Amino acid sequence: MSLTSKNGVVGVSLLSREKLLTGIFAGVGALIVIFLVIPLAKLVAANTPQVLLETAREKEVMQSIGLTFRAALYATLIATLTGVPLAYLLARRHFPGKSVISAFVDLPMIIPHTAAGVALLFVFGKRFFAGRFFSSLGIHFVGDVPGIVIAMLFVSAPFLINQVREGFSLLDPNLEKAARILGASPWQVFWKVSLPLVKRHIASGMLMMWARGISEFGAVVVLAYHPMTAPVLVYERFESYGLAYARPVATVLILLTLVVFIGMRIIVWREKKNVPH
Amino acid sequence: MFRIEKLVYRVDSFQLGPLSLELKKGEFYTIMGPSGAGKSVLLELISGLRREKQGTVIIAGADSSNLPPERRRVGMVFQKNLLFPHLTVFDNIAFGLRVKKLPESLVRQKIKKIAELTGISHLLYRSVHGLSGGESQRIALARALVTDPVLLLLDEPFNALDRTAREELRGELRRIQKQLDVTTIFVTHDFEEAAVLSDRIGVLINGQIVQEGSPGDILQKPATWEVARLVGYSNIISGYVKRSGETGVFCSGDINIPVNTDIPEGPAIVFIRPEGIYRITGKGTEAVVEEVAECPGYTRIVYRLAHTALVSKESWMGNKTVNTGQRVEISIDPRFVHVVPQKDGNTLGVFEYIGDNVKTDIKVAPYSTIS
Repeated sequence: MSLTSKNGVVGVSLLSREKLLTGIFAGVGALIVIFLVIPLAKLVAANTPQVLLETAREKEVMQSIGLTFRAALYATLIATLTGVPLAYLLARRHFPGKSVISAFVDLPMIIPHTAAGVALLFVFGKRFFAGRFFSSLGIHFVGDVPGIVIAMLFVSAPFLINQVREGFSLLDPNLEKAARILGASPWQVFWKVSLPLVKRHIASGMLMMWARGISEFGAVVVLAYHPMTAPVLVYERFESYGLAYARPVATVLILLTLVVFIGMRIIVWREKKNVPH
Repeated sequence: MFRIEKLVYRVDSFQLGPLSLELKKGEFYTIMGPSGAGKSVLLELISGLRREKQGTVIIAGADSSNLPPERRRVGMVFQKNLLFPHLTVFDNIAFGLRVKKLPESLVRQKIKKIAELTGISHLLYRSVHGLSGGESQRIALARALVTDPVLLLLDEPFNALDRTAREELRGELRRIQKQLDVTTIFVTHDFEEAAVLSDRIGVLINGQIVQEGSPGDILQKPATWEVARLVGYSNIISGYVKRSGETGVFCSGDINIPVNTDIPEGPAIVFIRPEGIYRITGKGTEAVVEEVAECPGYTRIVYRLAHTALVSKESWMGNKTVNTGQRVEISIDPRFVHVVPQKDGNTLGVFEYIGDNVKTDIKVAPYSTIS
């Protein structure tokens, strides 16, 4: 299928024009991929397997990684229990102030995370209302695990809420209407129709949030330098001993996170194959 | 059995009703109307998905006006396939039974019965993905009927289907509906569909039921020009009825038609079916052939007269083709003609006419629409 341009010169065929676009885009796209991959690959490759194994056996390293994974999981569970109902309302109901609430949900993503940490300190610090209240229950935020959890919760909950909200918005409300007419109460419709149909969005939202929680440094460090999460440990080793000491810890953290992340992705992807949307 | 009394519902500038409706047990009632007439809104009001502002909805003798949809005992099949994508065919049909916590053995028993009736037994354990449009709507029908609704609502359920599937399902629907004796309200814009299925038709235009009757009544005696247009009267022309004693004649610029004694002198409108216009030699009205198109089963011809144009459908049997530009003489078979007096809600301008797809400079009164 060749085209003749106005001046009589035979033009490129449609197919090769498409190839040209594909080629240029691939070249440009490759630049950013290289930029993203090279530092990580170099970081991993710079370690000998022995050093990595030794680092992985180090008690301090494994404890901090374990703590990080656990804290991020708690934060994710709390956000799921509270965020899914919120996401449903934001997607399904019209109410005054909805756009204001949406904006507040997005806010943690754009403010500096150290500032978020300071803001949390102003509520959950020992001298402030919530801090005092929880303190009386034996829960301390500053320099303790709950502090790490709320720091992660604050900065990474938007990832979950937005993802779930997207899922509910894509769900045809007529399916819910059909369920109502079939005799289901609003609660039954939510549990038996709406929720199962967005479970893929919930799962990937939880995964995104969990991963974002693990990587959080700024807000966590303000509330709890100790016990040390993995990002804080990497930072501390770098500050105190230099690059050579920070590198193996960073590598182990990245590798472990990748393993879990890819594993979860595969599970979510399998679900997707079972329930095409 | 089922009754609506003085129902009124408003959205923005659109008003549905005041509208009253009464159905007998087992009756198949069709609400027919152009898009935007309020058909789907009416079904949503009956099902409880929308709440009426005024009026009463009575289902199976009980005032349901304040009941939520899940307690109205209606079944509904929608235009779009609304099967739950995360459930199998069986679980889709079981949905309405399981939310009512019926024992699983009873669920199986009921599904087996309804699947046989609707002809989907072989599909029960399939996923709902990859079903044909016809299969999906059968399952949707089974899902609605398995709960033993006292009222079945069908919102243009055949719209997304191709012609063959539509005609097949249409026949089955009537058989199933009769067998279960379930009172049914069917919504469509298609008169043929309504005529094949219904015991009674209500024509809904602009939020009002303008005519109610058997398919034959509506076909032969459309009450207004809008109804006439819906049921296939391609030629709608305004004029005047002159009476002298027992005889009356409808006159427009080109056409003079004798009318019954029950039409008073005054402005009137004539509806002429396209099948009622034929060519003769001698004694006819002179016309010029403006358009000729071969269609399946008939030839569609547009004749230009002095003031109007007339659309005709000529059966292929005669097979006398004409050419554009040809001068002919035409006449009108009175069996295909219906004249109504002009009154409120049924008026056209002087000598105004509405032809089916005929390009004219005459404006057609627009339907108000509702989203």
